[in-house]
Amino acid sequence: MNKFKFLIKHGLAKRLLKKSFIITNIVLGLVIVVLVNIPSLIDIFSGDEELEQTHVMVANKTQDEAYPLEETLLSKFNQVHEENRYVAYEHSLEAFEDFWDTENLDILLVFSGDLNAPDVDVYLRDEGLRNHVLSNIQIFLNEYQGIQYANYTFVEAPDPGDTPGMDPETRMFIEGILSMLFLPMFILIIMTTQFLGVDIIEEKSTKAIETIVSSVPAKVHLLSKIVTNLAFLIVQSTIFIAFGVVGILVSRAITTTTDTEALSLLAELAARIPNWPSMLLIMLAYMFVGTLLYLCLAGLIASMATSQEDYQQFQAPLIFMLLGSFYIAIFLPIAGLDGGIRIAAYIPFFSTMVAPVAYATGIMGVWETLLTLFITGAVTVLFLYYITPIYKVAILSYEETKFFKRIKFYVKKAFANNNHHKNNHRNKRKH
Amino acid sequence: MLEVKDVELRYGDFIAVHHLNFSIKPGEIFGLLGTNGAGKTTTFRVIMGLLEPTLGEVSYFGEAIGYHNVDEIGYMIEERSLLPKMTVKEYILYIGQLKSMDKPLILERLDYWLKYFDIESYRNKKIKELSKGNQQKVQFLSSLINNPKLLVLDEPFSGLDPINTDLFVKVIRDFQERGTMIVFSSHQLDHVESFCEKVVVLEKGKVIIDGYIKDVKDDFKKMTISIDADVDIDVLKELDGVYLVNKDSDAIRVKVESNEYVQGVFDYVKTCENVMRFEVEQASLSEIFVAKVGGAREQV
Repeated sequence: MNKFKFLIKHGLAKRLLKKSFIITNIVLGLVIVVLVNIPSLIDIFSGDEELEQTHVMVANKTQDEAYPLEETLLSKFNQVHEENRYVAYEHSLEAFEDFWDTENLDILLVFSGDLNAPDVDVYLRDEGLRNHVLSNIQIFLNEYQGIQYANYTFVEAPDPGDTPGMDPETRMFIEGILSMLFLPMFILIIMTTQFLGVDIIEEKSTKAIETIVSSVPAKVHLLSKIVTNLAFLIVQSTIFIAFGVVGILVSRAITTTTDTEALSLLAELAARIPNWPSMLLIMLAYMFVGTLLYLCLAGLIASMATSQEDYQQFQAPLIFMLLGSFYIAIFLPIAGLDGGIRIAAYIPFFSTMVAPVAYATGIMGVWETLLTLFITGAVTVLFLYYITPIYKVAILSYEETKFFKRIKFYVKKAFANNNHHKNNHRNKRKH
Repeated sequence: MLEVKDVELRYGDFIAVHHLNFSIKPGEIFGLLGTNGAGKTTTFRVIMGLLEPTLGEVSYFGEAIGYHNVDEIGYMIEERSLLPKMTVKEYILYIGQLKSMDKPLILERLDYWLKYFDIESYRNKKIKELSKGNQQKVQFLSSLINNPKLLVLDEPFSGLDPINTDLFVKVIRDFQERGTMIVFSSHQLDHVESFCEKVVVLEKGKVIIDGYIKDVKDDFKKMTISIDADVDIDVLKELDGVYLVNKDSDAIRVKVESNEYVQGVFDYVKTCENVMRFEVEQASLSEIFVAKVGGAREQV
């Protein structure tokens, strides 16, 4: 095994096999499963007090227009529920496409052609209702005309796609849950930068670093620390996602053992955020690239510090930047400062949390968001290229001067060394 | 063979090491001496490839020293350099694997050395729970675990009691016999004198003494005469070539500028009564060190 792989394996084992990590994750797992199932649990314990009604409109454009299609279907829909859950929508629509902008209308079914084998356009606000609706239409058709089947067309909500902007209701919803969505990301980035700093400082303050970097180059040492913590971030995120999945499975189990609709927080979120798959992907991509950038900075700061106390003081700019980007991501969309969000999304370090928000709230389209991701990635690579010589000098130095003086000293020393070595190699080649 | 060829290390205008040259053959022990801040640790870091020299180069068996041959080198720094939260076994496994060693081999050698240093019971103890002396043993052990061909030891005896110092000396001697090249620094010059063939003394990054200890001593003309007789110290002080007279518990020590002034002292002592001892000695390494470093400082 090469030394780089060994350092990563050793670092990960040190982190993941700790009792504190295992216990924390067990507790967090329980909390996440409960949080995901809050709607189901509320539904179970709330009893019959509040019945949520689903408003249905059925348009009969078939040859048998006189047939009471809406009443028949509503009675079918309500058969499994003792309560009168499915009710007729009492208003009219100018056009069927207005369904998507109409509040309180959950299902629109447009029957056309021959009612013996009708064409049915299905508009659903909640995709979770699809099976229930279709099975009941089919039961009705079987009773109406024997074993004929309908030709269904599922009409989908207009895709926001790459066009900036989003309907105000969805945007308001996303703005409302931003802090909840980005808090885990914020905490994970803080955690990984802390772990990296503590790791490096532990080795530096005990002087073990000199023995270590006499066996592996300082550059490899830094990279191994970054990759270890990034891998830790991925493992921890995967564990969180796995807990979410367990939460959904528990929700389904609750549904089968009780007479409750399958309700979970994640399903609710997915239903209300139309572009959630791409939003999740962008969040994950930014979590990876953005954390990489923050880890590089944390590594550099840790190499310049000489003790844990020193590092706690020196990392203040990093924490402020993270906190700043977190607050920008949460509050600027609410304040309606879309321009500010857009600018911050192009600034590396801030972009980590701001750009996914800009995408989620429709301020930026997918291509523009990917451009900001590319910029952050490019800056990360450049940053890493320039900090490695500084890291090499700083990690073996125990300067006790003030922070900025120290930075200046290390930068000067690192690049003076680089120039001297280049000249030295050039002279050797001449000889 | 380790060769340090015309190495210079600069930080901007500050020169940490000036044109340093020396070489060590397999089975040789080399002493790098100097006062605090003279540039010894910097030189060790250059040898270990932790610092790249501004000029010159360090070669190891003909090729530039670097991370490709670092697995054959053992390095022990002056200060405590351990990860105290780890157990002894975990730490040695960590360092051994950084030297590209396999776990079973590391554990086999670990058990051997723990037994050798009589600290077997500390195998699974955290390093922070060990006494300073035992921590020093673990650190020394970590530099030996890969059976190095080049052993770089920065102040290996500091803080050790005489018994453990002898234990360390024995290990160093064993490695020397096996053909290991050993570079070490120490403030305890009696150790250096007892087992180093060659020395370099640095002062403010400059070489002020360089060569085989025997040659260094021969070149240093000042001599010490130990006298046990009823002599008049004031008369001794007035003799030609005498620059210092000290009365120690067992004898009077007279320091003369060179061999040619010994006869004058002898002629005077002959005239005194109760002459029990008249012994001429070459200056010790410690005296040479003090004289040369003092001289170098006066020049500055």
